[in-house]
Amino acid sequence: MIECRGVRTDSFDDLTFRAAPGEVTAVITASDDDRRELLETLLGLCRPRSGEVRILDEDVYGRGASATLGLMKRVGVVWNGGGAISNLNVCENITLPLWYHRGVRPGMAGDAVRALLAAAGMREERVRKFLLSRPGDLAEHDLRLLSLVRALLMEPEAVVCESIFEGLAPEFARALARMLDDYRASHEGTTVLHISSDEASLAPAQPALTLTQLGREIHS
Amino acid sequence: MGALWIDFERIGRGVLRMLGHTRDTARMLRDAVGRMGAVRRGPVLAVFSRQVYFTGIQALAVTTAVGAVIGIVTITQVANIVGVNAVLTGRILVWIVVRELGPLLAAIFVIARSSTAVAAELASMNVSGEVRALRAMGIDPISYLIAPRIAAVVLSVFILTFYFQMAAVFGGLSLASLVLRDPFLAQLRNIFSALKVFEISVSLAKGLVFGVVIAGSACYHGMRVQTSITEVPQVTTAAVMQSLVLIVAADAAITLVSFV
Repeated sequence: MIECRGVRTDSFDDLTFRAAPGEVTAVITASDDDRRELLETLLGLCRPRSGEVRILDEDVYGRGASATLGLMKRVGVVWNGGGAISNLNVCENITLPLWYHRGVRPGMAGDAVRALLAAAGMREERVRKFLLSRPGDLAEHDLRLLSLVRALLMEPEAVVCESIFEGLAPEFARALARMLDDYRASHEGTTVLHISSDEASLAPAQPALTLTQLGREIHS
Repeated sequence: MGALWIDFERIGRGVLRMLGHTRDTARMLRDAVGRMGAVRRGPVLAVFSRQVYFTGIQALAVTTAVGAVIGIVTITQVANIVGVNAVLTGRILVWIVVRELGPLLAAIFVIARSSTAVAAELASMNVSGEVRALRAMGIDPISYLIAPRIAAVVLSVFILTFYFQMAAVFGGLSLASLVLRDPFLAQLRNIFSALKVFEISVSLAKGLVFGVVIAGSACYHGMRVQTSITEVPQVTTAAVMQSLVLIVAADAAITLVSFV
């Protein structure tokens, strides 16, 4: 569950909505800047002026920075730009949270990574090259795939996607949406929240609820 | 008079700004030291190892070579002034190289090579949203990015100082024995008789303090960047200047406390 109650930020006068557990919810913002601000507010990166942000029934800003970091282990974030660490290769990037939080070394997660990449339609002969690439050498769609695989490997209870289908080839966008659907099917109760400023790009996600920004407000 | 007054005001503002940065650097260092236990985690240990390689191991050859040249130059000048005097030569080598130049020049090497690189890398990571992505993964940037870099730079400065001093002493003595016909082993005995445990301790303490100052300044200024890529060269320069000013001040303070 992801919930905002009366949240005020620089760009928003009132954010009041709820992304229910087990459902796909979409929020359409008026601009990319608003999208980024909403995302950062939800993830504990940008404290709102007032109001409450709750993820998985925990107050994101209520218990200090260390508790917020602990909460974020349970949330997968798929960034529009990939959110990759530039001095690590793709394999190290994908397995970084797993290694950091659970001590699972990159080699030990190989099978799970390959299975997820295969689900995205990546051929076996390309996987090795992809895993050894640096993020700076990757195209936009590969960066998003990296971000999605990294998020799903941690088996999150909620997934927040930042405009992940925007600008992608329809077939690849459908493959990413299918990966999210399969994950939801195998992990009952997972909340999926898409945030985008491009409503048309969210078609593959097939959200149960779509909320649109009106002026400086987003309401359920 | 008016122009002079404005200059004083500007200097005062600059000093206050630097004091503010120094205070914030100290706070960040305190936070990083509190999270030093994170270096045992696999990915953090990998960051530490990479930084030791870039800052310590890659700089070893050039630092050792410059150390040897400094030793040779020092011995040449001493011989030129006082003639062949093994006892005095040994003492001057210890006074100049071990007490002062070793820690200071090794630190300046690290500032030139690694402080700039660390500040620029962290600043770029901030601008490109990588630090934000780490937080969103539940990874504390101080634990993952800062603590291992500080540990690695401190260790590297410490070791480079030692290598620099050894290279300077052996370089100087080699020249003295080859050109000035001063027996190498006799010179070495003079060095060791002039070298007290206290002097070695002060020299190593300087290496440690300089390492902390350099690493802290580089990491602090690197993490100060917000969103603009044009800030990257600015914070890199600020990191270098802060490191230089603070290591010279620390050097003077340690020397005054230890030898006066």
